[in-house]
Amino acid sequence: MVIAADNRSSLAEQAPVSPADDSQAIIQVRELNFFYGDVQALSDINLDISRNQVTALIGPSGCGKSTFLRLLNRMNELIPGTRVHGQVLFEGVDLYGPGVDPVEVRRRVGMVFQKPNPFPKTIYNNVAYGPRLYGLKERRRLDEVVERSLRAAALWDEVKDILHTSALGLSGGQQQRLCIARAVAMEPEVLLMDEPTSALDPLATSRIEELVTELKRRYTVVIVTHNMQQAARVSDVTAFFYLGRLVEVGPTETIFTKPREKQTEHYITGRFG
Amino acid sequence: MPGQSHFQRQMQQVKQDLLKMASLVERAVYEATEALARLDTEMADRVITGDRRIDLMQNEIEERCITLLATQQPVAVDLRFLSAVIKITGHVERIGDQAVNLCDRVKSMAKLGGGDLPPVLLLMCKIAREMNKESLDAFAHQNVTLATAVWRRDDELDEFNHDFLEEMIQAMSCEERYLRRGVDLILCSRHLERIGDECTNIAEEVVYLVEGRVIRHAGEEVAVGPL
Repeated sequence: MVIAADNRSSLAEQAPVSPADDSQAIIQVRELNFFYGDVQALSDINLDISRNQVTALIGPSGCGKSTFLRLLNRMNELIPGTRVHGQVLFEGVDLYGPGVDPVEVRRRVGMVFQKPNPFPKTIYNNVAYGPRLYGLKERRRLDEVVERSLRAAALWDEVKDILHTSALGLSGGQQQRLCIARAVAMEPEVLLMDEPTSALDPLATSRIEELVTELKRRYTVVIVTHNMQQAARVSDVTAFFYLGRLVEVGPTETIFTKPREKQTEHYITGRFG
Repeated sequence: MPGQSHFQRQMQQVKQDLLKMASLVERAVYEATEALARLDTEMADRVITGDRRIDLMQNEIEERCITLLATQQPVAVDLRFLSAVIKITGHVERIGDQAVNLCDRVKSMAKLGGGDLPPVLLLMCKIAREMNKESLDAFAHQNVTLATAVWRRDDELDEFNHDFLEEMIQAMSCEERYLRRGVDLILCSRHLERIGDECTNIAEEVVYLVEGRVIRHAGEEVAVGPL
């Protein structure tokens, strides 16, 4: 383990709200409501995110899926005037409970954004950045973290000889995998991905999708995508959001062959008007 | 049609084409059973010749469905529709083949001469025609109630076929001169029973298309394990 054990032991002083059971759910969202000022963006969301599975969030623009994703690691509170009601239980601990450290939350629940956003640093330093912030100084151990993270992101073989060159020289697909490596370097338990392939060509997209399937062995992945086929290809569970509500959630194969709700069917078959 | 996407219009066209093919097959079954009742070899020949067109239509419809699957990557009801159309097209084509088989028997029996068709075969002809029509109506209107009724009716033809076979075996073992005609009649009964089976298959696809529910093999599940 790279990050000091006592750093990852708990998110807060509070006891788990619900016992951390052996169930499949690593995150349990309960009666979640979210407001941007007076505008309610999410209403009464209840959803379990299963451990070591890929959950896809789909829905038309403005349906609240990205807002929901950012609520899973407290990124929305960086926007002034927002309010959260309800609970996001991570291993039984409410992320919005008293005494929870948002920085620690974001370490354990990592994020990969829509556009690759490497730091203007070397490849090596992009990956080593987080662990260094967390106090890891020893070169040999940093080397280990960088290699392991780049391997986990299926990028090592392509960059092992150019680790100390600028990350900005990589292709778009490589940059996105570098961002995944950067997130993985913090040893998170959950990886949130906000349309991670929307800026990539089909080949780079396919590599990221392969990677997502690999990543779920070690991590829980939640992915927002506008690409229906991508949701169908990579996810185990699909959740459909519409107008700030969770309309339907279920096994991906069911959602894409015989969804329960008409709204879901209309959306995924492109009949939405 | 306004308000419909290009894809939906193409799906409508596929449905129209399948219904056109189905109407040819419905006619073929009607004429084959009429030819059988009257030992009309001219009518039988027309059915046999007409089957070529049905076969070609099957190829065309299947190809269009595969193109739509590849280019549109449909999901949910659209995916079920195209999957159902591919299967139903196959069943419809096989009903056409059974009509041809019946006509072959008509020609064979006409050569031998012989008496009237046993009443039970006439009844089976009627049931097969009705099942054929109703299964295709169920598809055209996506009517699960009608599809389920067709599905339940299959036992009727199976039973007639079974009983008729027993009866013919008895008759043929008593009088050898009826052997040849007996075999033809048994085959006719079998072809009619197969038409019923194909109609049942169509009905199953209609239920899957509308409700996403698999009723074939009485919904039994068998663990196939990883491929």
